[in-house]
Amino acid sequence: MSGQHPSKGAVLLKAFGAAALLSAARAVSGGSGAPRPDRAGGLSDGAAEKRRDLATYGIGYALALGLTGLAFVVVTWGWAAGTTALGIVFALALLQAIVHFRCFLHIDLRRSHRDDLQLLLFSSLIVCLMVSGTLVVLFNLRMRMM
Amino acid sequence: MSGSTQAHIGLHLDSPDQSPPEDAELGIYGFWIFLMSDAVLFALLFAIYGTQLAATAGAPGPAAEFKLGPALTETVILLTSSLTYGLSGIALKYDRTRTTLVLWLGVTLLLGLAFLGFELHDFATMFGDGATPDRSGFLSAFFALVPTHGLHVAAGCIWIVVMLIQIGVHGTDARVKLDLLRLGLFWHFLDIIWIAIFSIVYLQGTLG
Repeated sequence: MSGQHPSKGAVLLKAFGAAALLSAARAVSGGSGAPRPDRAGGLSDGAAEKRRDLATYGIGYALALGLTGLAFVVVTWGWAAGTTALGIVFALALLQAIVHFRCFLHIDLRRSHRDDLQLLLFSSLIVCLMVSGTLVVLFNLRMRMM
Repeated sequence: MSGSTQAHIGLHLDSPDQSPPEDAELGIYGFWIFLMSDAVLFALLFAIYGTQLAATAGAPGPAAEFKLGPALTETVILLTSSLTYGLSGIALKYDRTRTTLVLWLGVTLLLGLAFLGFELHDFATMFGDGATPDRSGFLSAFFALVPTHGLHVAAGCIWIVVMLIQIGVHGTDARVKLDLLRLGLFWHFLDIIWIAIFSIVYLQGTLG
């Protein structure tokens, strides 16, 4: 969309902060699952895995709610003006999408998930090509009609 | 990790000692390809919406028509339905009985219907203000984009009902489990599309 240049610094800062938050959450969810191999009993193993699955969804839900709330708060309470606010909202949306992919759809960088990730990235490439083509054609059309 | 190979995306139902059957992996990957093609469709609707933002042609514009209250309610409802669907998946994976699974599916269905109710109420309000799709390029683009997502949610609700019937008839056999996994991908995917809708349509429209 239209230029987000003035807000680039703020967006970057925001992105880094939230990325740190996300990796912290990952460390927490990974940390709770780490002592698993020590346990021998099949039952406690299942219980631990269930707790980890529940934690993944819980963390994902909490993060998603927080990011949604932040985006709405920025707009409602006017924390930032026009373009800056827009940049922050889009950055938060991107982060929330990543949280959903990670916590709800369980996509990560592990090797066995590479196919899904590659398809996701390929689709993103196609989307970029088609969307930018659409934007160029339609904006050009509008300019000529003005 | 006790050798658990994560062969497909989404929640994993198999315990580590039994590897998922080949066709389950393939079936879910195929459905993932369909979802990505759906994502391309939505991306283009978003692009067209972006080009039509200024084309209000005297009809009610974004700042006048979009209200953040209902949008936030719809967002929270859809987010919560994603969580309850996840809980149904966990019930399917760990519980011996089907009660919890059916319960969480029912809650998800109710949340989906509530979302549709709020959205239809929004559209009715817009129609009442004279903001109909034929008034301007902006409204045409809006009513192409947002109701397409609504239709997907409606399809998801029908799918949940079908799955409830199938669970009643067949129990949770391999085929039903696979379909529940696919439905989960679909439902979470719709939530991701909604993130883009509330950010690009509602929040941007309110910012003006």
